[in-house]
Amino acid sequence: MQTYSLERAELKALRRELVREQRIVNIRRFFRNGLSVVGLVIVLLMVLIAIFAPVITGALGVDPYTSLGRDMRLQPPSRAHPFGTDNVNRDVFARVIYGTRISMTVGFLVGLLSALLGTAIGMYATINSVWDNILMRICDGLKAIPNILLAITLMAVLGANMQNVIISLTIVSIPGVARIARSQALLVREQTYVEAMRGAGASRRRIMWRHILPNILSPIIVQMTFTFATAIISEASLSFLGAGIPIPAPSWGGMLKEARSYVYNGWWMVVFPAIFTGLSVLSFNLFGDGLRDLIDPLSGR
Amino acid sequence: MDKTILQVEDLSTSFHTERGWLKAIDGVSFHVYEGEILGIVGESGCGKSVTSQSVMRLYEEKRTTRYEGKVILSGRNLLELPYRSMQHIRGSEISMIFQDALSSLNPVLKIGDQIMEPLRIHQNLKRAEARERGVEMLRLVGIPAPEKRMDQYPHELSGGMRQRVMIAIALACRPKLLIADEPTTALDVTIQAQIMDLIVSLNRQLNMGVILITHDLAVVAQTCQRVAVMYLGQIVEEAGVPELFDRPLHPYTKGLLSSIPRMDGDSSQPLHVIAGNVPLLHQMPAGCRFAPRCPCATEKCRSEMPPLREVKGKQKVRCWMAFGEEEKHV
Amino acid sequence: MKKYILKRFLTLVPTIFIVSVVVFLLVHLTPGDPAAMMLGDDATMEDIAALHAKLGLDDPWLVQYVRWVGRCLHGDFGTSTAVIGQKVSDMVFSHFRPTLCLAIYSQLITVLIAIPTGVLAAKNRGKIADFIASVLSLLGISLPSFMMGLGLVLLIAVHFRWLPAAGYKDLFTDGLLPFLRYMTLPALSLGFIHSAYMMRMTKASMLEVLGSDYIKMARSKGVKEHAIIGKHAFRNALLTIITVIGQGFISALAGAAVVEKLFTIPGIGTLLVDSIEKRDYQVIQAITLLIAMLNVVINLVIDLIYGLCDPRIRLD
Repeated sequence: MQTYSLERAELKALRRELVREQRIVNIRRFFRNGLSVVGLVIVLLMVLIAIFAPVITGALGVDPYTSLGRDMRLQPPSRAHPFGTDNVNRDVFARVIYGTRISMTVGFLVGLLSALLGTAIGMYATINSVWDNILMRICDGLKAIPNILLAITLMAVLGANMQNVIISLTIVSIPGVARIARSQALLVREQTYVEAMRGAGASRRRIMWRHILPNILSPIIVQMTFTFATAIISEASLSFLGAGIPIPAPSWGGMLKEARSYVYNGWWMVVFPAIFTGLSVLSFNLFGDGLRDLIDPLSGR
Repeated sequence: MDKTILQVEDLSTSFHTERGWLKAIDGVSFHVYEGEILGIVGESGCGKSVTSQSVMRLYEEKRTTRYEGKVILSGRNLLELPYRSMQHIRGSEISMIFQDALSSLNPVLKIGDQIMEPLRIHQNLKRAEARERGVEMLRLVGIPAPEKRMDQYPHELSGGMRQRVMIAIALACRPKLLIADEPTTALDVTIQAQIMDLIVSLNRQLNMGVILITHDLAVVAQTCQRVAVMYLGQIVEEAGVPELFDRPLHPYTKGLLSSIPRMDGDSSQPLHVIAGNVPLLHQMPAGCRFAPRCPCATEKCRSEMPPLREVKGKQKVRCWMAFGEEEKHV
Repeated sequence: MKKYILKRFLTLVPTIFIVSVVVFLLVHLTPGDPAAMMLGDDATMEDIAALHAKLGLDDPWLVQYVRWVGRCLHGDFGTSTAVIGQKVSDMVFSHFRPTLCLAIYSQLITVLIAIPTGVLAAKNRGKIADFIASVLSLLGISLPSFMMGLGLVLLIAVHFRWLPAAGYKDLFTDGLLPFLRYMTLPALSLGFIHSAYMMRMTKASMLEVLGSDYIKMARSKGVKEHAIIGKHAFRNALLTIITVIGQGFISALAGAAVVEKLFTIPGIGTLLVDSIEKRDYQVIQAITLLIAMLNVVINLVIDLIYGLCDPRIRLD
């Protein structure tokens, strides 16, 4: 009986074929999971609304700051003012639309900054055990203070404005990203090809940035979508408490703070900002779930 | 006169996956006599474990699993029984032991609780009686100080002891049939031999049928009376152990036999390796499933599936070439 | 077991140290002079300098930190800068009971909703219970607690007028029924978010356990389905669930700020938010430290319970 083995080139082609097929299955899976597609669509919609806010409100001839006159106080939704008017005679629709800008900006910047800094910290923690202990103990310490409480305290210290909201939410989100980056980097480092690179004399820095970093990006990106969603919630909570973005800026949380006093005679002041907040958070979570399934089919549900 | 205790006819099990329904095993037929050990061998992924777990109907999710064919135990088709009756058969008439005893024993329950459970369910024993029987079983499988073990947790025992405990649990109700799914794979070589000896001696002592699932032909040679070779969800050859080792008919069986390292062989020769890999389930070849890897495959092999046919006495094989040889002999 | 407890205690030391440093720095990095703020606008430079000396504000940070830690260990968190002469520890203590009652009540609701739904969803995968659980858990993860609260107020207090929209009645002085009437909406809005998470975790850990070999083994022994779920699977899944309950309690304490403000409950959350407006940093510092320490202690207790429940840990 003859024995033969596949040629190297053949093996490579087979592997490439399998990887390609898996990718198609993954993408098909993402799209078959209707919810993540819905999430993606709403995410895109929110981003478009944020970018084109002036155009949208301009078409209706309303803007988020101008009082419409005393006789327009607390008017229910109508054709001219689809989301009604608030207690100081402003158009709620325009404020909600502009609120998208605030939430998307905060979410995006917090997601991006915490991903960058968290990844850097997580990667540096893998250099040696001293760094690992110092950085991870600091992360543990920060995590011991519940997120929302740390954010509130930071805002109390820094002062309420948008820049500080982004800074404090980024600080709050970094430990989580750092943990993920660290554990993923450690996993990748144990893999044989990294050992081989080290054996071949590649420098530590080169291995870290050229070989480990690209391999831990996927979970970091998934975490970014979840951070995005949490940042929207946290910003709204801070603004609701008066510790976030100060009035009269049209932040959803701030609008809900004002609406709290008018639950009996102005339900629309509550409902519309609430729907937008809930919908955007939901869509980022759905989108993140879909992404995670795509990267790691075994995790999640 | 040999009495058949289990008769499997044309059993197929399909699973629902993202690529549609996949047949993990396809038309498997075999039988087990009272008091004999039947070996089922094959590479990993050939459907050995699916076969054994289908016999016990352990895949219960109706939306994702589909059984076809018959599994007949004492005149009843297990695949048609209501779920309740099936529960009653499991553990009392058929039992199973698994590869990894550490993960197969519940980590938060004491050994005693786990061994008393089948006794209390199937034989309605009181706690004290069940405990007594449990200790007896532990002693039977050769565990020292069984009373003490009853109150210990699985992680407090060694690997070999845990495997013995699992055997004791499986045999607590004296089943007619024991399915052992790779019972020694996770163990050290010396302990492997002890466990196999234990299974063989219990098989004689209790006169129960055993299905031994393994990838190790050496184990089969030492313990089994008959053997079925599986490849890609089908049985490709079935024979008595002496016949199979003397005159393997299927090229796959021949390959398996020549890849066993031999003490008396020429150690400078490289071990035989069957070329190629097991194809994936959704890329099943049209004809004989072994054809893509077979050194003597013909056009007919690639286009037409051979049936499992009796060729010489009780030897069955699924190969066009073997049929041809047989005809030449006649 | 003793060794396990000792080891667990030792890991607390760096965490507590970092927490105390973070909380200390938080307030000391604050812009503005606390002495000037305490004395008001018409204080002279000499007055401020005198208070500085009295409070030790001119000492190096390290000295101030050590002194602060020493005082905290004696239960002395300083005096309020907003309410003159009021001791911070008294303020925090008097606001603590409503928060604690609310947190416990909301956890009770959480456990009662989440664990049965999670178990059912895992058992009947792909069926209606599973679908409802998924929808609820998505909603819970996406709705901040104050929005859940506003929604409940609009629906149950404003529309149906079943329960009051805000206010507080104490469990011990006002009795159980008024307490339930006033605290059910806050507890629901506080608990709902976490119950979504707990439901997810219960379902996930049940699914993991149900897929394990020892469940297969139990099935092959002929164990009945309800015993598989109750005796074999749930006990193992409980290990994860206990952790989640502990986390839930902490997040209820921390999230109370928002819900208390929404329902005007006089707990430490309301105290915290009011202190931000009054720039009363001593109080903010004390509350942050208190909750962080509670978090550390609760996590320790959970680990110890974990050690009691899981026989595998006992030997270490």
